[in-house]
Amino acid sequence: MADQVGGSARRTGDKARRLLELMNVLLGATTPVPVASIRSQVADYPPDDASFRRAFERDKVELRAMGVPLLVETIHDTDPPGIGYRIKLADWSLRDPGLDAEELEALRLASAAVGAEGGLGSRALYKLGAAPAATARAEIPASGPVVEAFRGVLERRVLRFRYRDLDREVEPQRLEFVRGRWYLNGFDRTREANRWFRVPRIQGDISAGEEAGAFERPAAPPPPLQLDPWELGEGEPVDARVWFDPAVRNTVLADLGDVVVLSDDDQGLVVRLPVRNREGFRTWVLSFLERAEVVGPPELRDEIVAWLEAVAGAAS
Amino acid sequence: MTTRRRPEAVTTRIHRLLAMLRHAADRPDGVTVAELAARFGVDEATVGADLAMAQMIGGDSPNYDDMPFDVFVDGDRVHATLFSFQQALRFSVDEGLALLASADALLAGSDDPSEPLARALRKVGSALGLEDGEAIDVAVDPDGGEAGRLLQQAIEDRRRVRFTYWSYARDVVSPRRVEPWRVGEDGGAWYLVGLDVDKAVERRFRLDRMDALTAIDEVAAAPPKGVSADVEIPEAGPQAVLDLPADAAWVLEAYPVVSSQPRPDGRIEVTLAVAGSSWLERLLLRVGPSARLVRIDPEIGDLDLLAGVARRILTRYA
Repeated sequence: MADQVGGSARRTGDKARRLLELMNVLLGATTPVPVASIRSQVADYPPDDASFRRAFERDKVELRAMGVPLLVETIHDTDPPGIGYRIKLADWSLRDPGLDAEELEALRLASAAVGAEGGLGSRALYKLGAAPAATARAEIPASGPVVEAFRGVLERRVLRFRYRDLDREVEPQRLEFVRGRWYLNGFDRTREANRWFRVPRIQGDISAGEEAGAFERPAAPPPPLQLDPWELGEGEPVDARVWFDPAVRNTVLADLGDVVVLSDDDQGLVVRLPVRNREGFRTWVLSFLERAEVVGPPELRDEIVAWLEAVAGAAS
Repeated sequence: MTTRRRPEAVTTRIHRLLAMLRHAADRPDGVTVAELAARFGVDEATVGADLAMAQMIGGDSPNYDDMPFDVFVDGDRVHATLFSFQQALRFSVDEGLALLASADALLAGSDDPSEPLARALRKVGSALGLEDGEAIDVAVDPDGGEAGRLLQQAIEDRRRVRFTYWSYARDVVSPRRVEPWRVGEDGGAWYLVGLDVDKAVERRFRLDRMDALTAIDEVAAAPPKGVSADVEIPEAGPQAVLDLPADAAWVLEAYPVVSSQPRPDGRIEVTLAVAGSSWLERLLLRVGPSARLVRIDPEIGDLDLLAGVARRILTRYA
């Protein structure tokens, strides 16, 4: 077992060393570096041609996955023209955000409390000259579609994906992570309207368009994301007043987020909610069984009573 | 997964090494190995191995000036000069997302633009090309709120906790005494995993279904190693057969369906694994007057279950 661990660490070390060697040869080169020259300058590439090719291809994939801006260019002054590689310094360099010590420490502590999966925050912190603190207690997914979506937001690229069985073309504007899920907002060109999309419901992959800066960011913030079933829909809301048993108080408050609390004591919790969607509201209130009661207004209370009477009558 | 993990480990190692070298190079008197180890969260042997690797880069090249780093260790001090890699590699998109998401999550609830984290968020966003910090909004309570912090403290102090718990599936509120093992977030909700002392079983509890939570003066045994917050409590359970209208086909997607078949009258007959009687009552109340109960395990209830719950709730409204 000890041998295996040591061996694995050594292989990781070899790999890290070869990638550093490769980046060293290419970074800041003023002309593209031909493959033959890369092969002679980078230690550790396998001697036979086929193995070298395979290893070099793998390294290129890995550099790109790291975000290294690897340029492939044609070298014209050889006969026949060949292919060369380089990394321009201007493409490579992080634009220094100019964080002071206090700001950097705040960022470090934030990453320790809420981190992204896969050690992404640690790598970003290293680049800023800080080191990550202990393992994060809450983890946010940051892979797959949400990364492509964020690329679209950052670089103003049009996103194409399938959602509710329709192919969409979206100008992405904003990402929100709420109650354990990512939501994407943008202008849906297919439907000619601003829409929210639940990222895990996107069918298949998201592809970000070739063209950066493909649209202007709207000046106004997008309409707020509505997750509560009673708020979905159009029209004027009706303010409902609902009582809850103290036993479910914490669950209700966790469900609700921002809500007007009318009273909160050992007699129970009474809140006021804007209701647009009667069906969503009914389902949610009834999920608390007899631990919830619609206190008013009479029209909402009567609807619940009518539903319950219909159920009691039909089933008996 | 292992094939994905290894390149990530290599990437992390490369960025850590470059960060250590830049840190040392910025200090004319160098830094100690111990300082580097403490600052970058690794042991001294790892620092030594990383520095040894740095000294080899470019070493096989025919030109001496191809070496990007000049690293030497003088006693316990490390001195470094960089001829290349002076600037960090720009953020990849996923790293940028990770940084902004962490910062935004912690800022939630605070609107003081002058606090260090708010300033950091704006600066990082702007370095990524965002005009304001508004492209991302993350709502995560970093440690499960007041209850999460109390439980974390109890775990550290090895103390048992007491609370009343609302069991959603059975709609029962009962007092619990628990040895807390781990608090964590899963799919947007926070959970405690621990030993239910009076029942002598391992359980997972949702923090937002607890009430009157306190740490008590009873010593808890050491938690078992490797407790994860996503322990699934199996509810191998009884079953019920429902006769549902065609427009309640969503039930097939939303609930643990054992089997289903269309009926000659266009309705659907569905067999469900039932987590508890209250759970079934909620489902049937949602479907409404057109739902019918065909068969039910006696331990869950009888065929009058739906009418019964409707009448029970109606007494509230009387």
